[in-house]
Amino acid sequence: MGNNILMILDLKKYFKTNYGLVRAVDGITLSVNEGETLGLVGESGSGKSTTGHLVVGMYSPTSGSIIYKGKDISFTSDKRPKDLRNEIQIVFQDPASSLNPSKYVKDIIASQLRLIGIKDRWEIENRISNLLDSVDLPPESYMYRKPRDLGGGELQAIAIARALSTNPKLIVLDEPTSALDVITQAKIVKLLKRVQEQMKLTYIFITHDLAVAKHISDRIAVMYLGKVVEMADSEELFKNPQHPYTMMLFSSIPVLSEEERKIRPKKVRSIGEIPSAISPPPGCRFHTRCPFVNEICIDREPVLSPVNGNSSHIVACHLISE
Amino acid sequence: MERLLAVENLSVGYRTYRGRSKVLDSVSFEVLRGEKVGIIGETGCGKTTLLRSVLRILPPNALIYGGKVIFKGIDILSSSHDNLNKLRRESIGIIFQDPMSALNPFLRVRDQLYDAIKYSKLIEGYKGKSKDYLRELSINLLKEVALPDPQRVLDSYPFQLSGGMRQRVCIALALTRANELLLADEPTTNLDVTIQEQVLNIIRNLVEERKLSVILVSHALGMLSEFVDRIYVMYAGQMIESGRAEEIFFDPKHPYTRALVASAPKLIGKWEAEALFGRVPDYVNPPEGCRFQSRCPFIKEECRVIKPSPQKISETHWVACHIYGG
Amino acid sequence: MVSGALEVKSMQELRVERLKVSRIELWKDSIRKWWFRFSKSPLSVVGFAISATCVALAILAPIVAPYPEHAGWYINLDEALQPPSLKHPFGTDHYGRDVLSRVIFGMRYSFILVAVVLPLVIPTGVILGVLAGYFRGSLIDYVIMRLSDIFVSVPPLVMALAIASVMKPSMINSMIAVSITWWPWYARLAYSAVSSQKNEYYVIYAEITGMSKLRIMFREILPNCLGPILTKATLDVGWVILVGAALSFVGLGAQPPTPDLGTMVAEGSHLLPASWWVTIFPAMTISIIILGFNLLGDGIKDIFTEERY
Repeated sequence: MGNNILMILDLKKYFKTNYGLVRAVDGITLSVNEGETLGLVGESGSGKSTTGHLVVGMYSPTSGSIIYKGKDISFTSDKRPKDLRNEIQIVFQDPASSLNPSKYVKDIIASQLRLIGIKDRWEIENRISNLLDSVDLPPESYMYRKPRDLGGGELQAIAIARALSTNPKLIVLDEPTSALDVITQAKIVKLLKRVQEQMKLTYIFITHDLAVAKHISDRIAVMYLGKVVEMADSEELFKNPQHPYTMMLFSSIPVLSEEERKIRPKKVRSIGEIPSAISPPPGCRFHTRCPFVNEICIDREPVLSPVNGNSSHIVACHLISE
Repeated sequence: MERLLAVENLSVGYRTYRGRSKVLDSVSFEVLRGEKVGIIGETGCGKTTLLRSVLRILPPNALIYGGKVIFKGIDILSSSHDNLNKLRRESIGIIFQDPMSALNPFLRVRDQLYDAIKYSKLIEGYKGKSKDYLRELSINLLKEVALPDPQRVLDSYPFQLSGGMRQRVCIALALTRANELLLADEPTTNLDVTIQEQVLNIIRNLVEERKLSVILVSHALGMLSEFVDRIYVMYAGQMIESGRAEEIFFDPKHPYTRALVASAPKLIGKWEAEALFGRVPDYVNPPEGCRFQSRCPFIKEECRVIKPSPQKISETHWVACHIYGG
Repeated sequence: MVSGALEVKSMQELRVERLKVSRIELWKDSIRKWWFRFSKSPLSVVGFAISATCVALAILAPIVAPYPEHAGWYINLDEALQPPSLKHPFGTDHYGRDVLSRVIFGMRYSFILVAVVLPLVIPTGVILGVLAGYFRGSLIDYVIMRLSDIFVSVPPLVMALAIASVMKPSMINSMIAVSITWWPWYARLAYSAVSSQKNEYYVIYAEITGMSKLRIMFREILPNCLGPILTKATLDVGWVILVGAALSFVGLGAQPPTPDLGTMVAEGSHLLPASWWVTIFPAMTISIIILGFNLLGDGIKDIFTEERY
């Protein structure tokens, strides 16, 4: 855990659609330290996936900047330097669509290796075997399979192997376990953690599942409708959630045991729908669903400020900042 | 209490290019009137096949090898077409996992609801009833599923609604025919977690109001724990354990159930993540004996040959595993 | 003591051997899957049989036809207009030529037409369609698609007339006419298939990681779009033959004495109804070929249809 490897400064991304301007990401500032896992938690419309996509260069920001190792990389990946593309990788949510269904696993990974200049056939096969081994998939059984014959967990492992093939430093994981069942999810998370330690990777882990986020992230940022509403170390967030939305997320997680039920913070009943990102509510975006809404919440947007003077735990809520 | 639905030794498979697969292997379970039963299993364990068999809405390449599905004393599998349709119109409803594909994207919500109502018990004799009457009925239905602004929802197309709203429309559709039994195949898995809670509450309230029985199929343990009375655990087409919700979650017996419970990410303490090795067996050439053998850390000789039979742990709890006899 | 590098090489070779064997297994598995889907409808198998027979007959024409010399210049008025008999199963025409032999050679010419036109038309159309589809919304899309609109709106017959008015009518010219008006269909198929795949995550991933656009279009996306293209290609065998026969019928295609099925239908049409065999057999042959390839095309479509469960 050392210096900043990635900094996101007041990042905004708006999309023009037939229905209007979608403000997917509306001004977020984050930093990620080398070797850590930053969890981005939110539901649909929160902008968490778009943030990940921006980091990887799928789009260029509408405004704001992304700084990687001190260099500004706020443009699409085709305009970035080649070695940079290899250093920042991504694993998408749905492995069935992120892997070419009619290609063999070997060719899927081989095209990545070719991009980093490895041409020798033996070298390629060797590396692919090692990569498949490192994600617990025996190469003899998987090299010449096609994605359509494989299950979700195996596919995701292959997607991870593919991401690892270019020796990356930072991997964006866009809801990598949301399409998997619990046992497979546990397997993949274990795999990710092991690989992270072995290869000294930095992760941005995007998810809607707070419980999973807790177990893999060092720090968590909670997003709602394009903005960060709370950010803290994992432990701190769970002991001491401040924002009503964070508490609502907690309350919605179904739990198994009485003791888990007890440690859940004050029950905040989930009400209302997530508003549209085209015309977000004025003032605090969460006010339409907040049980503690006041007049000031409709008037002014709250600013991220430290909780009890602790600068590593910040919250954007008028109730807290008074 | 009356047995509403009893599935006895049901075996179902599919015709594939590699031969005939045997997905469900002599599956048995029952639902009493007014009971909420959950079925847990990972993807590919055959839970969708099971639900579809209850309503007999299996795809054309499905093969039923044997068994019975008895609803109120009548075997659905050997029922006449008319009887089957009567059941589907008046007694059993189903909520599917993906609301977007369960709704017709080309029809407005109102048209889909009207169709459902016309062929249900809600109106005896549709002839002579005006469109307004149908509309009123529909609005009431939508209000029951807590949809705000039901007028607007009725006139919308599915793509204009959010995921949670679509699923609520699907629940309303299922309610038009689920007067006795409601089947739900992962009804909230595709929804945002704060919406999941709302939708589950709606289903819970409706079930209690109308005294419905429910079969809820899911791989999400937490959701089941807060919702159902009894749970069946399924693995690779075999029922391996069953008991009350507390028994399954706090005293799981079968190695698979234990791995399942341990894999659920917890809010407190360390996450054991007792990840299982191996894959689900090949349904075209399933192994003899217990289908869990290739992944079981406690495998014995008999597991490879003899299929374990249910062993009683308590009045309500049984497990099919050689570790406990059987 | 074997040196380390040699050891590694032979271990790799062993692995390759194992993998090679598994590749053969994979092909066998794929073929099994294709046959399973193909043979779901027995008619597809019938279509396959018919098509295969016709192609075989066409290839083996000089060997199989009882009177191969009748396929060109031949006159024997003594034998003219004989009804079907053991000696001439399809009868003889007004020049005394054996209709059966001419029909078999006629099939050969029809398939030659297809073998020239489709390999020209399909790659052209598909390549243009892929480009237009990948760059959907851009100038390339606009230019290619409008070009295809222009060419698709001209019926092949009219195009053949236009060409014939400038040059002599012949088989080659009718091939050109058909080709020019046929490629847009493939462009459209490829266009819609590619533009729907374009937003899949595997394509996005390839773009993000810097794969060259050409590679993405033709090595990543196109293999997933083959279904409609191959199906149409199969159906088109029948269609091209039909259009070729129509052109010959009106005199724009193959010229006598070439035993083209369309020409034969035209020549024999004057002899109806008395010497019906001179027209009817060539006409029936055209129908059977088209039927065979249509049924085959249905089967090909089934191969690309995923099962529903």
